[in-house]
This record gives sequence, structure tokens and C-alpha cells, in this order.
Amino acid sequence: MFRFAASYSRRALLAAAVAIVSMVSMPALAAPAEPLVTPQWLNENRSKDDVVVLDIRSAIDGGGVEAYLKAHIPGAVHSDYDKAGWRVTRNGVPFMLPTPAEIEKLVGETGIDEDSHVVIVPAGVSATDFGSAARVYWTLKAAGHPAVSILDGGFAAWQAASYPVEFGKNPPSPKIFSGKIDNSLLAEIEAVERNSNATLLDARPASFFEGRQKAPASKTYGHIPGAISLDSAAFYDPATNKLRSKDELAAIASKLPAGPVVAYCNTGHWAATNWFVLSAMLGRPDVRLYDGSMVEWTADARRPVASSRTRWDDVKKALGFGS
Amino acid sequence: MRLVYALVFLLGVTAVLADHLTSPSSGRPMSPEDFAGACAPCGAPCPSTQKK
Amino acid sequence: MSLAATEARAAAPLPRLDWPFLIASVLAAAVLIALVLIDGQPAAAALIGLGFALGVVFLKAEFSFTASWRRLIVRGQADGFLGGLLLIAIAAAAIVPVARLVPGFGGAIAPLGPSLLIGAFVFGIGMQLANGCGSGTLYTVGGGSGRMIVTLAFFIAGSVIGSLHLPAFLRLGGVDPILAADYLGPWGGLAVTWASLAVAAFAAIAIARRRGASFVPSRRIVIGAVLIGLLSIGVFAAGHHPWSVTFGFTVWGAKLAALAGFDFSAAEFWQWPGPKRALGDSILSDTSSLTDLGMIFGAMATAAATAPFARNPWPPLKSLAAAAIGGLLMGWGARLGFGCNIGAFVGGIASGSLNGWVWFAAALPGCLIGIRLRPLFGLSRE
Repeated sequence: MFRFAASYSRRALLAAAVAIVSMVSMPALAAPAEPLVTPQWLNENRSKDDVVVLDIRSAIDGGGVEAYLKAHIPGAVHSDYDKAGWRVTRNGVPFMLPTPAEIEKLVGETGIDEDSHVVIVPAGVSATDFGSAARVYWTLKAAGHPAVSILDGGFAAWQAASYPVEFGKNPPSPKIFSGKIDNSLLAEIEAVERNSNATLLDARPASFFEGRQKAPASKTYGHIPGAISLDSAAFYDPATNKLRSKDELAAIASKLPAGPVVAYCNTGHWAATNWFVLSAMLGRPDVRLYDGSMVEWTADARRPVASSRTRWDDVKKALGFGS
Repeated sequence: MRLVYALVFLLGVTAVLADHLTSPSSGRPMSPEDFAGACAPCGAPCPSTQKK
Repeated sequence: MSLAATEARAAAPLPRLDWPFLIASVLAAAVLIALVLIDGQPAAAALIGLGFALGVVFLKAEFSFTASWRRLIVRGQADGFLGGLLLIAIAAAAIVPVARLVPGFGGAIAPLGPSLLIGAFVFGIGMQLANGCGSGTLYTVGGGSGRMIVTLAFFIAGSVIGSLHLPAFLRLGGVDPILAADYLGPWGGLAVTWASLAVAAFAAIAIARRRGASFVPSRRIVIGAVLIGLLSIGVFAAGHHPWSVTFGFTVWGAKLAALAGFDFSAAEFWQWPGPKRALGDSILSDTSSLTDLGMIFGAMATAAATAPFARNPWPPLKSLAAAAIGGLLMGWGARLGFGCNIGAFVGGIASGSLNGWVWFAAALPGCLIGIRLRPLFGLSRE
């Protein structure tokens, strides 16, 4: 009996040793990256080797690289959301997801690889600005990056909490990033045209949805027939310049029908916020972003567009007091 | 008669304007594509298609 | 003050230029043209302008199909009727070949059967009671006739009723449209069309000769016919199908009925693609409405520029009754007959389609009856 017990305990010891060594050598098994992190968490963790603080301020938030140079989170690298290549023109359609090769190059040059934990820092000044962060988050996720977070409240929240800041340049040390493209996050136009069961979610303000306003690059006013309107700003609290609480987000999202969702807007910017809330924050399965959005959809006059725009709206625009 | 005429005219023009301005945007004047396959400009079907 | 001067003061004539109506009509036309241009529809603007010109010419030339056919029937006087044939011949020169050769352009065709015969016959009665037909109603109402407002109102109502009855009348039977160009090609079709007009002209001249009446059209009629013929070609070019009057009335009536709550989703006519679109879209997207409105404004501007406008007293009630009945019969008849004197008669023959002559052959006996009924309403027989 002792001989049996001895061999048994030796096997158990061996198994335990293998398990411990495996756990130590697989950092990915550590707690997964939260989609939103607080300034306090970032302040405590920014010195970790794998944390890459990615400041994405651009002309969209009125800041851009100048604001970064004046003040940024210590150790943060800058990548201009609008100009660095996070969105590219493909087949004549602007602001699309870059090709896998382009993403790998952009991400690597920004000092990010698969082991990094990327913390995206927007300016933190508006719902639209948050959309920039959501779009970068989505881009990294679509490229297969395992650990991405957004700083809740952006740089404005960091400064309001009086955490230390740096100024000047902080050039990234390029790395090699090999992404594994995750096609389950993206909806292409053919899928939208063929769509039969996914809810089309229009993230634009009501005036765009109804056809009283349109993006300059769109050729027609209105929305994709069958779409539901959910302004991405609904998820954002302008008083605190942060996303609303998870309960509030869930309450807003509960009004949507169950099943797959395809989020779109004009160019996939506002829609990224809707995608982020539904997919990353609320864990809803099968949520995709249609990055071509209305600019691509309206490029061909044969694709149907629904709107409640009237000829009075056209006259108002012609006379100069409408859009 | 002049007064009645003026009133009817104003009403008529107002009705035309109201109808036009409340109509959905981006239409086009009717063209024969609308009547394709029809037997008269109003779109009436042909007797040959009605023989069942 | 001397007696002469006082009398002169009391009888001071009204100004010949009636500014309010002249300005109103030109302004209305300009506003509508601006609206369709904002909508990016230059063809629609052209149709309003062409309609305006038609209103001017019809009024200045006093080009009345109704009166000229009545003169032909009652007295054998063929001058106005011949003017109409000239008009059609000119329009046919463009419409027959282009409708056949150029894709996107179509003629005024219609199936031949009971619906066409009944409709044209009833229209014939109505036009004589109303003192005007399709074009006649437009240019006289534009010219300031209050009686024609009554006619037009009932014309519109009759058109809607006719639209509800037309599908049933079509089921009575008939044959598909017969187009000369289909059998003889564009130029053979045109030749046959002109030949048919020549035959009709000779017949009318023979009638006039036999009854000792005149048949040589005056310069006014000839110039009017030429101009209207050319303007019709313009309308065909801009609208891609021949000038139509009564479809516009049908749409106006249906829109009013829909506003009052009538549900057209069960009405077969209004599910056909043309009517369905017209009912749901702006009045200014309908070619027929554009020329109708233009014509009213053009006639109004012309009348207001040359004489005091709408200063005549209202005619007696009996006359107004004839106007109402005539309008109703015309509206109903035009729907069943696939048009009025312009849409079916001028448009049909100028397209080389047999329905034009069939329409005429059925409308003529209707006119005979209408003329006989006129004295009942206090209207003259001539």
C-alpha cells in the first residue's frame, strides 16, 4: 500500500509542478484587460512593462499632437487618430478598416505587440471624442489584439485627478505585431445588403437618421431601410465626460431586439461607441461594425435609403437656412 | 366673380405648394419607365394580359 | 362740371392691364419653376414654361376644339377643325418617329374596346355642355371664367370617379393598341398618319362645301395651330410622352380625396405604377400637372395683360348646372376613354395610334347629343 501511495503522490507532485510552471509562464492567464480602466488604475499600473499608454488625440478633439506635446500621461506614446492611419481609404471609400498588413505596421510602429496591454487615452471632452477611442479599440480587436482598454474619462479625467504629467516627445520603440484578423467584428457591405436577421443600429443623431442632415461625403439623406436609431451620445454622460454606468448602459441597450446587431453611422466612428458598449462593456454576442457605413452605402444610387426628408427641407437648404 | 376667382386661385396655389413641400425628397418627373409594359400612359394593363 | 365730363367720369373704363392677376400668375409660375429647379428637375421647369406658352397661344388664338367641332356639326364650318388637324400633323412629324426610334420615349397609346368608345362618347356630350374640353377648360379658366372654375371642379371629381370605374370597364374586353409605326416603321407610320389627317381634312371640306360653309382657316387659327403643334413637340421632348391634360386632374382629385380620408389602397387604378407614384409624390413630379398649371398661369397672364380680369358677372344657375354636369361627364369620360381631346385625340393620332381616330369617331356623336342638350340649360346651339 505504501508503494502505491508513494507513486501516487510522486505523480501528483509532478502534475502540480507542471501546473505551477505553466501558470507562471503564461501571463495571458492573468486577469483579462477590462474594456474601461480608471485613472487610478492607470496611475498604479503605468510603469508595468507590458502597459502601453496610447494617446490618440487628434484634430477631432481639438488637441492633436500639440496638446500631447504640452502635457501627456508619463510614458504615453502618441498616435494621431485622424492622421496616423487608423482609418484608410479603400476602393474610394474613406475611413475604412486598414488592411491586415497596414494594421500590423501601424500597431508595431506605435510600440505595441501581442504582449502589450494597450490603454487608449482619448482627450475626454465629448461623446464624439470617445468614439475615436472606441474605433481604435475596435481596430485593435479586429486585428486580434488580446489586451486593450480605454481610459475612462480620457486625459481630461487624468488631469482632473491631478496625476503627474509629462511634456515633450516620447517616441515609441517599434515592435513586431502579428495580428490574427477577427472577422466576427466586421460587417462588409455584401452582408449588410443580404441581411435578414441582424438589427441595423444607426448610431447617428436623429437629424441624420431622419434625413434632415447628412455627412458631406454621403450622397443621400436618410438611413439604411429597416435600421433602428440609437444615438451613440445616449451612452455618454456629458456632465462627467465618461460613459454612463454599466446599469444605465444595460438599460438603454435592453430596448434593442435580441439577436445579431450591425452598428453603423456615417463612417464607422460614432458606431464604434455603440459597438464598444454592446460588445465590450455588455458582452453581447454577435455585434459587428459596418465600417463603410452611410458614406459607402450611398455611393451607389441603386441602394435604397429611407428617410422622412421632405422637399421643404430641400428648399430650406437651397435658401441657406437648412442642411 | 373676381373675388371668388382670387380666393380659388390663392387656395389652389397654396394647395400645390403644400403638397409639394410635404412630399418626400428626391423624386423625379414621371417618365415612360413608369408605364413600361402598360397599355396606356395611365398604366392600364393590356387586354391581351387580361385574357385569363 | 359739364354733363359730358360727369358721364365720362362715371363710365371711366377699368385699366387694360390687370396688375394683380398678371403679377399673381407670373409669380406663381416663377415660384413653381424655382421649386422644381431646386429639386434638380430642369425638364419639369421646361414643362411649366411650355404649358405657360400653350396658355398664351390658346387664349390669343381662341383655339377651341369644342366650339370648332360644334361649328362643323351645326353649320358645316370646317375652319377650326382643319386647324386642329394641322396641329396634329405638325406634332406627328416628331412624335411618330421618335416614339418608335428613341428608347425612353413613348406615344399616347390605348387599348381599343368598350371603355374607349363609352368614355369618348360621354366626353363628347360633356364637352359641349361645359363649353370646353381639356385644353379649353384650362385656357378659359385661366382666362378668368368663373363658370369654368365650376367645370374644372367637377372635371376633377369626375376624373377620380372614372379612375375607380376604369378597371371594370377594361375587363369588358378589347384589343391591344394598334400603332401604325409597329406595322409600317417610323416613316411609314408617319405617312399613314398624315394620310389619315388628309382624308379627314378632305371629308371636312366636302361637308363644308355641301353645306355652303367656310373652311379656310383664318391666319389666327393657322398661326395658333402651328405654334401649338410646335409646343406639343416641346412637351413631348421634355416629358418623353405626348402632352396630356386629364391625368393631372385625376391626380389632383385623388390627392384631395386622400386628404379627406379616402383610402385608395383598394382601388386597382391607383395600384398601377404610374398613378401610384403620382399619388404618393409631389404634384410637381407629374408631367400632366406641370403643363396644366403652366397653361392656367399663361392664360391668366395673357388675359390680365390685355383686359380687366374676371369682371364678367356669374352666368345663370342653369348655365352653371351645365358646367357642372359637363365637367363631371368629361372627367369620367376622359378616364374611360384614355384622355380628352388633347391626350387621346391629338396625342393618339399624333402618335400614329388608332385609338385617336376611334376616340374621335365616338366623341362626335356624343357632341351631337351634347349640342342638342345645350338649349335645355339656356346655352346657344352654335
